[in-house]
Amino acid sequence: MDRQKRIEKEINKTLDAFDLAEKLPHNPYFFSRLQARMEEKPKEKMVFATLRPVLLASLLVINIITAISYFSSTDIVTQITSEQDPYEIFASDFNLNQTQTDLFNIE
Amino acid sequence: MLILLVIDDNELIVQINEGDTEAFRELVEKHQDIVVNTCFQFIHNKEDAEDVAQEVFIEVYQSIAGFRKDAKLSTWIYRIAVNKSLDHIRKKKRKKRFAQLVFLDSSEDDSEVFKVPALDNPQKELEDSERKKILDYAVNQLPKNQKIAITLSKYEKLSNKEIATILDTSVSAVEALIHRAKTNLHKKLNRYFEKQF
Repeated sequence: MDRQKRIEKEINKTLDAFDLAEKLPHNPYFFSRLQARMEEKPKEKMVFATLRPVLLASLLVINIITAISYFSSTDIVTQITSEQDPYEIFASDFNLNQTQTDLFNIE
Repeated sequence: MLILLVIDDNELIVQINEGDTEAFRELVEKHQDIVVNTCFQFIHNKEDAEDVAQEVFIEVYQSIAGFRKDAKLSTWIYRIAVNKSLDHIRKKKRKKRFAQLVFLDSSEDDSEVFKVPALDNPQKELEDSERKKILDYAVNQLPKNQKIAITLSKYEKLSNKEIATILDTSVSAVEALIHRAKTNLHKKLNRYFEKQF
Protein backbone atom coordinates (compact mmCIF):
# COMPACT_ATOMS: atom_id res chain seq x y z
CA MET A 1 0.00 0.00 0.00
CA ASP A 2 2.82 2.32 0.99
CA ARG A 3 4.63 1.39 -2.22
CA GLN A 4 1.57 2.22 -4.35
CA LYS A 5 1.27 5.58 -2.59
CA ARG A 6 4.88 6.36 -3.39
CA ILE A 7 4.33 5.36 -7.01
CA GLU A 8 1.26 7.63 -7.23
CA LYS A 9 3.29 10.48 -5.73
CA GLU A 10 6.04 10.00 -8.32
CA ILE A 11 3.49 9.81 -11.17
CA ASN A 12 1.88 13.08 -10.08
CA LYS A 13 5.26 14.77 -9.75
CA THR A 14 6.21 13.56 -13.23
CA LEU A 15 2.93 14.80 -14.71
CA ASP A 16 3.63 18.17 -13.09
CA ALA A 17 6.73 18.32 -15.31
CA PHE A 18 4.40 19.55 -18.08
CA ASP A 19 4.82 22.94 -16.41
CA LEU A 20 8.61 22.68 -16.71
CA ALA A 21 8.44 22.89 -20.50
CA GLU A 22 11.58 24.53 -21.83
CA LYS A 23 10.94 27.50 -24.12
CA LEU A 24 13.49 28.20 -26.81
CA PRO A 25 14.73 31.79 -26.90
CA HIS A 26 14.03 34.01 -29.92
CA ASN A 27 16.62 33.42 -32.63
CA PRO A 28 17.44 36.75 -34.36
CA TYR A 29 19.07 34.93 -37.30
CA PHE A 30 16.05 32.75 -38.02
CA PHE A 31 14.68 34.82 -40.91
CA SER A 32 18.06 35.30 -42.63
CA ARG A 33 18.67 31.53 -42.44
CA LEU A 34 15.18 30.90 -43.79
CA GLN A 35 15.75 33.36 -46.62
CA ALA A 36 19.07 31.68 -47.53
CA ARG A 37 17.35 28.30 -47.57
CA MET A 38 14.52 29.58 -49.74
CA GLU A 39 17.03 30.97 -52.25
CA GLU A 40 18.86 27.63 -52.29
CA LYS A 41 15.73 25.58 -52.94
CA PRO A 42 14.85 26.90 -56.42
CA LYS A 43 18.45 26.22 -57.57
CA GLU A 44 18.18 22.61 -56.39
CA LYS A 45 14.81 22.34 -58.09
CA MET A 46 16.28 23.72 -61.32
CA VAL A 47 19.02 21.07 -61.30
CA PHE A 48 16.46 18.31 -60.71
CA ALA A 49 14.13 19.78 -63.33
CA THR A 50 16.86 19.69 -65.99
CA LEU A 51 18.25 16.33 -64.94
CA ARG A 52 14.88 14.57 -64.79
CA PRO A 53 14.11 14.59 -68.56
CA VAL A 54 17.69 13.52 -69.35
CA LEU A 55 17.40 10.65 -66.88
CA LEU A 56 14.00 9.62 -68.24
CA ALA A 57 15.22 9.75 -71.85
CA SER A 58 18.28 7.62 -71.06
CA LEU A 59 16.12 5.08 -69.21
CA LEU A 60 13.80 4.91 -72.22
CA VAL A 61 16.73 4.35 -74.62
CA ILE A 62 18.16 1.61 -72.37
CA ASN A 63 14.75 -0.06 -72.25
CA ILE A 64 14.35 0.05 -76.04
CA ILE A 65 17.85 -1.36 -76.63
CA THR A 66 17.23 -4.14 -74.08
CA ALA A 67 13.87 -4.98 -75.65
CA ILE A 68 15.33 -5.08 -79.19
CA SER A 69 18.26 -7.27 -78.17
CA TYR A 70 15.97 -9.57 -76.17
CA PHE A 71 13.45 -10.10 -78.98
CA SER A 72 16.14 -10.58 -81.63
CA SER A 73 17.84 -13.26 -79.48
CA THR A 74 14.53 -15.10 -78.87
CA ASP A 75 13.94 -15.07 -82.64
CA ILE A 76 17.23 -16.96 -83.11
CA VAL A 77 16.30 -19.45 -80.40
CA THR A 78 12.90 -20.13 -81.94
CA GLN A 79 14.55 -20.48 -85.35
CA ILE A 80 17.04 -23.03 -84.02
CA THR A 81 14.47 -24.97 -82.05
CA SER A 82 12.18 -25.20 -85.02
CA GLU A 83 14.98 -26.63 -87.13
CA GLN A 84 16.69 -28.86 -84.54
CA ASP A 85 15.52 -31.51 -82.16
CA PRO A 86 15.48 -30.10 -78.59
CA TYR A 87 17.26 -33.24 -77.27
CA GLU A 88 20.06 -32.58 -79.71
CA ILE A 89 20.40 -28.98 -78.61
CA PHE A 90 20.51 -30.05 -74.97
CA ALA A 91 23.06 -32.78 -75.69
CA SER A 92 25.28 -30.47 -77.69
CA ASP A 93 25.14 -27.80 -74.97
CA PHE A 94 26.55 -30.29 -72.45
CA ASN A 95 28.80 -32.16 -74.89
CA LEU A 96 26.70 -35.27 -74.39
CA ASN A 97 26.73 -36.16 -78.04
CA GLN A 98 30.45 -37.02 -77.77
CA THR A 99 31.78 -40.41 -76.75
CA GLN A 100 33.89 -40.94 -73.62
CA THR A 101 37.01 -41.36 -75.74
CA ASP A 102 36.29 -38.04 -77.43
CA LEU A 103 36.09 -36.36 -74.08
CA PHE A 104 39.56 -37.55 -73.04
CA ASN A 105 40.97 -36.98 -76.53
CA ILE A 106 42.25 -40.54 -76.76
CA GLU A 107 42.86 -41.46 -80.32
CA MET B 1 -5.54 41.32 -28.88
CA LEU B 2 -6.46 38.25 -30.87
CA ILE B 3 -8.81 40.25 -33.13
CA LEU B 4 -6.02 42.72 -33.84
CA LEU B 5 -3.72 39.84 -34.74
CA VAL B 6 -6.29 38.45 -37.20
CA ILE B 7 -6.65 41.84 -38.94
CA ASP B 8 -2.89 42.27 -39.18
CA ASP B 9 -2.48 38.74 -40.51
CA ASN B 10 -5.06 39.34 -43.22
CA GLU B 11 -3.24 42.47 -44.34
CA LEU B 12 0.03 40.57 -44.33
CA ILE B 13 -1.46 37.79 -46.46
CA VAL B 14 -2.55 40.30 -49.10
CA GLN B 15 0.91 41.91 -49.13
CA ILE B 16 2.73 38.55 -49.28
CA ASN B 17 0.52 37.51 -52.20
CA GLU B 18 1.63 40.70 -53.94
CA GLY B 19 5.25 39.56 -53.51
CA ASP B 20 6.18 41.80 -50.57
CA THR B 21 9.22 40.21 -48.87
CA GLU B 22 9.03 42.61 -45.93
CA ALA B 23 5.49 41.44 -45.20
CA PHE B 24 6.72 37.84 -45.18
CA ARG B 25 9.53 38.82 -42.82
CA GLU B 26 6.95 40.40 -40.51
CA LEU B 27 4.79 37.27 -40.61
CA VAL B 28 7.81 35.08 -39.78
CA GLU B 29 8.91 37.38 -36.94
CA LYS B 30 5.40 37.33 -35.51
CA HIS B 31 4.91 33.53 -35.58
CA GLN B 32 8.52 32.35 -35.36
CA ASP B 33 8.65 31.68 -31.60
CA ILE B 34 5.32 29.85 -31.54
CA VAL B 35 6.27 27.67 -34.51
CA VAL B 36 9.80 26.88 -33.27
CA ASN B 37 8.52 26.03 -29.78
CA THR B 38 5.65 23.90 -31.08
CA CYS B 39 8.09 21.91 -33.20
CA PHE B 40 10.45 21.69 -30.23
CA GLN B 41 7.74 20.25 -27.94
CA PHE B 42 7.27 17.40 -30.43
CA ILE B 43 10.87 16.89 -31.55
CA HIS B 44 12.80 17.72 -28.33
CA ASN B 45 15.88 18.84 -30.25
CA LYS B 46 16.66 22.53 -30.79
CA GLU B 47 18.47 22.26 -34.15
CA ASP B 48 15.90 19.88 -35.64
CA ALA B 49 13.05 22.05 -34.35
CA GLU B 50 14.49 25.16 -36.06
CA ASP B 51 15.04 23.19 -39.24
CA VAL B 52 11.45 21.94 -39.27
CA ALA B 53 10.20 25.45 -38.40
CA GLN B 54 11.97 26.74 -41.52
CA GLU B 55 10.19 24.08 -43.59
CA VAL B 56 6.91 25.25 -42.03
CA PHE B 57 7.48 28.84 -43.21
CA ILE B 58 8.57 27.69 -46.67
CA GLU B 59 5.26 25.84 -46.97
CA VAL B 60 3.40 28.85 -45.61
CA TYR B 61 5.04 31.04 -48.26
CA GLN B 62 4.37 28.57 -51.07
CA SER B 63 0.74 27.90 -50.25
CA ILE B 64 -0.45 31.18 -48.74
CA ALA B 65 -2.28 32.02 -51.97
CA GLY B 66 -4.59 29.08 -51.31
CA PHE B 67 -5.19 30.01 -47.67
CA ARG B 68 -8.91 30.36 -46.86
CA LYS B 69 -9.45 33.58 -44.97
CA ASP B 70 -12.34 32.15 -42.95
CA ALA B 71 -9.77 30.23 -40.88
CA LYS B 72 -7.28 31.88 -38.52
CA LEU B 73 -3.78 32.16 -39.95
CA SER B 74 -2.16 31.10 -36.65
CA THR B 75 -4.31 27.93 -36.56
CA TRP B 76 -3.31 27.10 -40.14
CA ILE B 77 0.37 27.63 -39.30
CA TYR B 78 0.00 25.49 -36.14
CA ARG B 79 -1.48 22.71 -38.27
CA ILE B 80 1.44 22.83 -40.69
CA ALA B 81 3.89 22.88 -37.77
CA VAL B 82 2.28 19.83 -36.14
CA ASN B 83 2.19 17.87 -39.41
CA LYS B 84 5.79 18.74 -40.29
CA SER B 85 6.97 17.79 -36.78
CA LEU B 86 5.19 14.43 -36.93
CA ASP B 87 6.61 13.81 -40.42
CA HIS B 88 10.08 14.55 -39.06
CA ILE B 89 9.60 12.09 -36.18
CA ARG B 90 8.32 9.44 -38.62
CA LYS B 91 11.31 9.89 -40.94
CA LYS B 92 13.69 9.70 -37.99
CA LYS B 93 12.06 6.50 -36.74
CA ARG B 94 12.27 5.01 -40.24
CA LYS B 95 15.98 5.87 -40.43
CA LYS B 96 16.52 4.35 -36.99
CA ARG B 97 14.73 1.15 -38.03
CA PHE B 98 16.79 0.98 -41.22
CA ALA B 99 19.99 1.41 -39.23
CA GLN B 100 18.86 -1.39 -36.93
CA LEU B 101 18.25 -3.61 -39.95
CA VAL B 102 21.65 -2.81 -41.37
CA PHE B 103 23.41 -3.70 -38.15
CA LEU B 104 21.04 -6.62 -37.50
CA ASP B 105 20.39 -5.23 -34.07
CA SER B 106 16.92 -6.28 -33.05
CA SER B 107 17.47 -5.76 -29.37
CA GLU B 108 15.80 -2.32 -29.37
CA ASP B 109 12.05 -2.46 -29.50
CA ASP B 110 9.54 0.41 -29.62
CA SER B 111 7.11 -1.60 -27.55
CA GLU B 112 9.43 -1.49 -24.58
CA VAL B 113 7.88 0.75 -22.01
CA PHE B 114 10.87 2.70 -20.74
CA LYS B 115 14.58 2.56 -21.16
CA VAL B 116 15.31 6.13 -20.16
CA PRO B 117 16.70 7.30 -17.92
CA ALA B 118 18.41 4.71 -15.75
CA LEU B 119 18.39 5.95 -12.21
CA ASP B 120 21.36 5.23 -10.01
CA ASN B 121 19.23 5.31 -6.93
CA PRO B 122 15.49 4.86 -7.39
CA GLN B 123 14.92 5.89 -3.79
CA LYS B 124 16.26 9.39 -4.23
CA GLU B 125 14.20 12.26 -5.47
CA LEU B 126 14.11 12.56 -9.21
CA GLU B 127 15.63 15.63 -10.73
CA ASP B 128 13.33 17.88 -12.74
CA SER B 129 15.20 17.25 -15.99
CA GLU B 130 14.95 13.50 -15.48
CA ARG B 131 11.25 13.77 -14.81
CA LYS B 132 10.87 15.83 -17.96
CA LYS B 133 12.71 13.15 -19.97
CA ILE B 134 10.48 10.41 -18.57
CA LEU B 135 7.37 12.44 -19.34
CA ASP B 136 8.51 13.30 -22.89
CA TYR B 137 9.27 9.66 -23.55
CA ALA B 138 5.83 8.62 -22.28
CA VAL B 139 4.11 11.31 -24.38
CA ASN B 140 6.01 10.09 -27.46
CA GLN B 141 4.58 6.61 -26.96
CA LEU B 142 0.98 7.87 -27.18
CA PRO B 143 -1.14 7.43 -30.32
CA LYS B 144 -0.75 10.32 -32.81
CA ASN B 145 -3.88 12.36 -32.04
CA GLN B 146 -3.55 11.92 -28.29
CA LYS B 147 0.04 13.11 -28.52
CA ILE B 148 -0.96 16.20 -30.54
CA ALA B 149 -3.84 17.06 -28.20
CA ILE B 150 -1.90 16.69 -24.96
CA THR B 151 1.18 18.50 -26.34
CA LEU B 152 -0.80 21.49 -27.61
CA SER B 153 -2.89 21.60 -24.45
CA LYS B 154 -0.18 21.16 -21.82
CA TYR B 155 2.89 22.71 -23.46
CA GLU B 156 1.40 25.30 -25.79
CA LYS B 157 -1.53 26.01 -23.44
CA LEU B 158 -3.99 26.09 -26.35
CA SER B 159 -7.69 25.88 -25.62
CA ASN B 160 -9.66 22.77 -26.58
CA LYS B 161 -11.45 24.86 -29.21
CA GLU B 162 -8.14 25.87 -30.85
CA ILE B 163 -6.90 22.26 -30.75
CA ALA B 164 -10.21 21.13 -32.30
CA THR B 165 -9.67 23.56 -35.21
CA ILE B 166 -6.09 22.38 -35.71
CA LEU B 167 -7.11 18.72 -35.64
CA ASP B 168 -10.23 19.47 -37.68
CA THR B 169 -12.48 17.83 -35.10
CA SER B 170 -15.02 18.72 -32.40
CA VAL B 171 -14.26 20.13 -28.95
CA SER B 172 -15.78 17.06 -27.29
CA ALA B 173 -13.49 14.82 -29.37
CA VAL B 174 -10.49 16.84 -28.16
CA GLU B 175 -11.68 16.52 -24.55
CA ALA B 176 -11.93 12.75 -25.02
CA LEU B 177 -8.46 12.65 -26.62
CA ILE B 178 -6.90 14.56 -23.72
CA HIS B 179 -8.68 12.36 -21.18
CA ARG B 180 -7.45 9.19 -22.91
CA ALA B 181 -3.94 10.64 -23.19
CA LYS B 182 -3.86 11.34 -19.43
CA THR B 183 -5.12 7.84 -18.63
CA ASN B 184 -2.53 6.26 -20.92
CA LEU B 185 0.25 8.42 -19.49
CA HIS B 186 -0.76 7.39 -15.98
CA LYS B 187 -0.65 3.70 -16.96
CA LYS B 188 2.75 4.03 -18.64
CA LEU B 189 4.25 5.95 -15.73
CA ASN B 190 2.78 3.47 -13.27
CA ARG B 191 4.46 0.61 -15.14
CA TYR B 192 7.75 2.53 -15.11
CA PHE B 193 7.72 3.38 -11.39
CA GLU B 194 6.61 -0.13 -10.45
CA LYS B 195 9.90 -1.32 -11.90
CA GLN B 196 11.81 1.38 -10.03
CA PHE B 197 10.41 0.75 -6.53
